[in-house]
Amino acid sequence: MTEQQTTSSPNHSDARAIGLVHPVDLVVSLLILAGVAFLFYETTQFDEVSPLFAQNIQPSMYPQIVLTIIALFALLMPFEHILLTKKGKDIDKERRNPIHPLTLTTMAFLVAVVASAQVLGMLLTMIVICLLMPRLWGMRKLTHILIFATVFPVTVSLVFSKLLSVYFDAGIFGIAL
Amino acid sequence: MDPIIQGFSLLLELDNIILITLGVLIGVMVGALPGLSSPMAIALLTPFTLSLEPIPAIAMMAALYCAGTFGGSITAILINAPGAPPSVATALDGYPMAKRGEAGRALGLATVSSVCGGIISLLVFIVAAPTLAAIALEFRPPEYFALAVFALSMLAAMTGKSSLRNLISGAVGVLLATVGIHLTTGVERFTFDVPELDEGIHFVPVLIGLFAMGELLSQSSTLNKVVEQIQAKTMKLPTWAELKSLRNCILRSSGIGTFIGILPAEGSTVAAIVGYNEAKRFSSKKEEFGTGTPEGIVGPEAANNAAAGGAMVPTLALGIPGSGSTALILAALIMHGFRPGPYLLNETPEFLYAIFGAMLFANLAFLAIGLAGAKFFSLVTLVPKQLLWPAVFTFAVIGAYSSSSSFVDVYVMLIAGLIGFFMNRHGFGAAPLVMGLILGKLVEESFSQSMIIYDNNFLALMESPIVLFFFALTLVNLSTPFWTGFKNRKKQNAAA
Repeated sequence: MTEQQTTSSPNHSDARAIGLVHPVDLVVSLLILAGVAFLFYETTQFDEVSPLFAQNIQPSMYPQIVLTIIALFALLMPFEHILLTKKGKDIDKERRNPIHPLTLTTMAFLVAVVASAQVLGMLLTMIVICLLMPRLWGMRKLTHILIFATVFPVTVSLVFSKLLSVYFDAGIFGIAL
Repeated sequence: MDPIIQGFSLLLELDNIILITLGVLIGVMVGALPGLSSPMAIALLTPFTLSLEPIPAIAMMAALYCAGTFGGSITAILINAPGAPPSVATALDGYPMAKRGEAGRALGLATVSSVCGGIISLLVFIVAAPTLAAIALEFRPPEYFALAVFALSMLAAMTGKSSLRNLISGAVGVLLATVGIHLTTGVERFTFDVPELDEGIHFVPVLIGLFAMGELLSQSSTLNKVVEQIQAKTMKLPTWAELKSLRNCILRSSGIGTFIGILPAEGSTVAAIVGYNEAKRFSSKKEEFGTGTPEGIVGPEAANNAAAGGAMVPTLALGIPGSGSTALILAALIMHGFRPGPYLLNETPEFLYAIFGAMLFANLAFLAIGLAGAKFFSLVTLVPKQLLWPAVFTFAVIGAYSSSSSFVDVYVMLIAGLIGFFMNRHGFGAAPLVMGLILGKLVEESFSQSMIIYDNNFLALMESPIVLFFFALTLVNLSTPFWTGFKNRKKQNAAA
């Protein structure tokens, strides 16, 4: 079976259906503008230095210029789909479908693993990743997973700690090679 | 002659040969595996190369970069799934040729044209990089500022869904470069009382997060894709007569690829697509394109490999990345304590020749890999994603952690990965952000110095013809997306 590729070509009726302002891009744009506003406020809290020391360029000046540029670009975003559709580009291709449930589960798994890494230590973290992630992603061959979860972390740990002198935190259980 | 001998002698040391060979093998493997990419591999490799001497470390990355571009063609031909984006165009004719039982011939054509394209671009690189660096030595801060702004404006023309989103990504990267203690005044900026941010955002965890973790999350929704694998017994090198008939196509594509590679921000993918289109435009058998014609393979392959060499020219000569991968190589150079740009090449010319030698070695190694290892590298695609991506995640965690033995970097990596996933979903590229992050410091420094020189009079910058030239190019870049949109609309109206 050949790789199934879902192709969705944009057309002008799509653009007309969306209208002048792209609703999703509007939300993204507002989020960016909110971030810009917060960071711009932050720049006003930077310490001021004497003009002589700053050589007329206060530390806040450059970030403020960049933030203004980002804000200007973000203001154009909700309308960009009109131009993109005319150029035959489909900006919604990746986001048309909702985020896959497995992607959300994987995100939660990554957060959990990274959050517990300091407690587990590097070797145990690697073992947990190699043991649980294949199962999470639907692998059912337990023997394969067990071999992988044993051989891979131990090999990686040995190569990096012994050959490349990378320090691996042993965690609260003190497990390291 | 001394720098040449010095540069090449560095590569003759056994340790360095092993490292470069390893770079080539990792590159081909990563290139062959759909989902894994050269930038991701370079990002994952970076923390482990920090303990190496700078020249072998960068040479290894340069070899990986070249090999990653080539590796993608193997899977493009054998399974119609380009392992790397630059090989998308190769699949258009490579896969049909393989399907009709000529997989070995398709691989041979791809290999030989890749080698030719790569070597031609390296010859340009070895001549152009020092020349450009010598010219750039005359640049003062205003010229550097204009050049960096021009490079950032190239993001508008960079491959991706949207010019505007590329520019926003680039600007966010520039903003991220401001995090930390301001060097001139010692004022903390965007540190939010986190001491680890005083030195600024570390490149390594951000790069790993954006390139590896973002892709890992994207891959989690494509686990059920099944691909058809065509068996290639051996690679079949093209005959002399066949090569002669394809000579013009290879030379043309190599030239196109090198030129596109030299342009800041443009990379192998654009080069391959233009190479394919030009091969078709000049072909006397246009109707055969898409059915497995040799020109449809050599055109994009020569171009995408030539772009790799071309992209190294602005990277090393000006400190301006020529592509996403070279932005990462530039980041690695900075982490090794170098200041990329004309001074680097003038003060340590042996560096240039060592990189040249490593890339030449990589290109010649393609022949051996194509002849002996194409079958093996096509088999790596059979590694289940359920094992491959946990391995990538493991390397990502180790890579982020080991750069400064800090768990904060692992958290930064994860946050960058989550942001990268959502950025990608909404059309914002990771590569423009990295380019912004790399160029950010240069833009700020040169801007500040220029303002001091011209006593805060921005318009006085225009006194320099070089500044005017780069600003004019910047305007062209920024207006191109709107101009092409207008042109398309006129075409559509005419057609209607």
